[in-house]
Amino acid sequence: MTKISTSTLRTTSVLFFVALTVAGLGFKTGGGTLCALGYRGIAAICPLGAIEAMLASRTLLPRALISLMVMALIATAFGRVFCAWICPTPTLRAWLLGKSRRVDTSLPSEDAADSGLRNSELHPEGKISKVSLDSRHVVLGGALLSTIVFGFPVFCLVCPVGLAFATIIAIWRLIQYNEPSWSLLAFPGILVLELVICRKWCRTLCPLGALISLLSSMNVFFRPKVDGRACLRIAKGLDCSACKSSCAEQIDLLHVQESQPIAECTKCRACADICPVGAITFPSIPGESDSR
Amino acid sequence: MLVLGGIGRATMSKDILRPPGGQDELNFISKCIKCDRCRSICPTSVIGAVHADESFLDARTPVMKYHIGYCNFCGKCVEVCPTDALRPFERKSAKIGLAVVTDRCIAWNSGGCTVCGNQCPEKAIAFDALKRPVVNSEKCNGCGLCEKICPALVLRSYEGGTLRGIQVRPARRMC
Repeated sequence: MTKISTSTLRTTSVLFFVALTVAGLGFKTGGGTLCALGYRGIAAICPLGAIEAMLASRTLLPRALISLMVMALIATAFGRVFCAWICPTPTLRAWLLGKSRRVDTSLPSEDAADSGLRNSELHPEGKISKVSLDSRHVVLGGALLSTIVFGFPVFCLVCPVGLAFATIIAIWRLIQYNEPSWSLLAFPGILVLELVICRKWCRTLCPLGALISLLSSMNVFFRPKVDGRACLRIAKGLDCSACKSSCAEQIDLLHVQESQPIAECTKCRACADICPVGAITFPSIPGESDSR
Repeated sequence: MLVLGGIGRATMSKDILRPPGGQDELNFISKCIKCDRCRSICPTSVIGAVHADESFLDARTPVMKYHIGYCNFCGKCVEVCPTDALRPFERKSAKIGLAVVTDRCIAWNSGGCTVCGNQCPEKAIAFDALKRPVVNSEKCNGCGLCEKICPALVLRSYEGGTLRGIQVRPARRMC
């Protein structure tokens, strides 16, 4: 059976949301962009945008608040799926910079490391998630502080998601209304600068990702799980770390305690794809196939 | 981020014609997350987006483009605005701006044109003794139909530029 690679599925999913926006441009659905996607009075608002709007205007906005709570629920249920499956930035990065992921494809050697890995360490979903604060959270704090001080949603100005959709809209308006402008160069220009100069945008700067990872700290479903009986490192003692080196979030599934917290997982499934024996799964309900 | 906020604030423009319900500029700019929903849903396509060269802070926020459409106060933009940057308005008292006759006006220059006055849905444009249009600032709600249909650029295209014979401008001190 030929299996479609997960990265193709991810790109398709991202393009689906782009297509939704383009459909909105063509048919006046008012669907909006990823900044706020919705139908009539109902909208899924970007959680960062919702917080920024409330802080900047110093008012409680019911719709923004409800949307924020729904986003928190989604993050609890599915973790950071937005980052891998909806946000166009990783796809744009891959196009601009090429596949920058460093993947260790060398065959695992016989001299094995930790043979003392116990099964208890292989079920990250059983552990209490720790929240780690890094440079992205500093950017998030700075963005929110600046929003309070200056009274407008500051990060929205440079958000790569917003700029990507702004570029599409600028091109659309050029064609539909013959409306040439510097926006056509400025929006993609800033976007490319951000992604080329700050090559690790998602990992080190993105405040939206930081916010979603905070909301994901209680995530329970679809957590990656290693089958200890199949894993080359655990079962056969081989020095294989393909899953670790394929992870864009630098999560080491075999040493979750020491690596990035599992809340950072974007469910991109790169580890499951790279694993030579298919030992990694993303069970919808934790502990479902717990075979010990 | 703080520098960015400062630059944004410094380059803020106060002369942008917002969709109805967005006339309190400070309130508007604090809530607008540039999501594009109002621009997308507008049935008359009068809502456009501010371009990057016009204002850095306001880029991507909605602006009334009266060369493309006019406002019929249907309120759909207010309905879809997710952050209440556009607030519900009273149909009768809502004012987007005020129409001003410019030096491109055909009637004021040579006479003969009465297009704007004939079409104004609010009957806010009267004609003086020489059949030249005069805007009643009480009645005008800034819907922009006059600017949209003004033929000055068609009939006097040698003037250059894009200014029409009548133009809606932001009204000062509005509630």
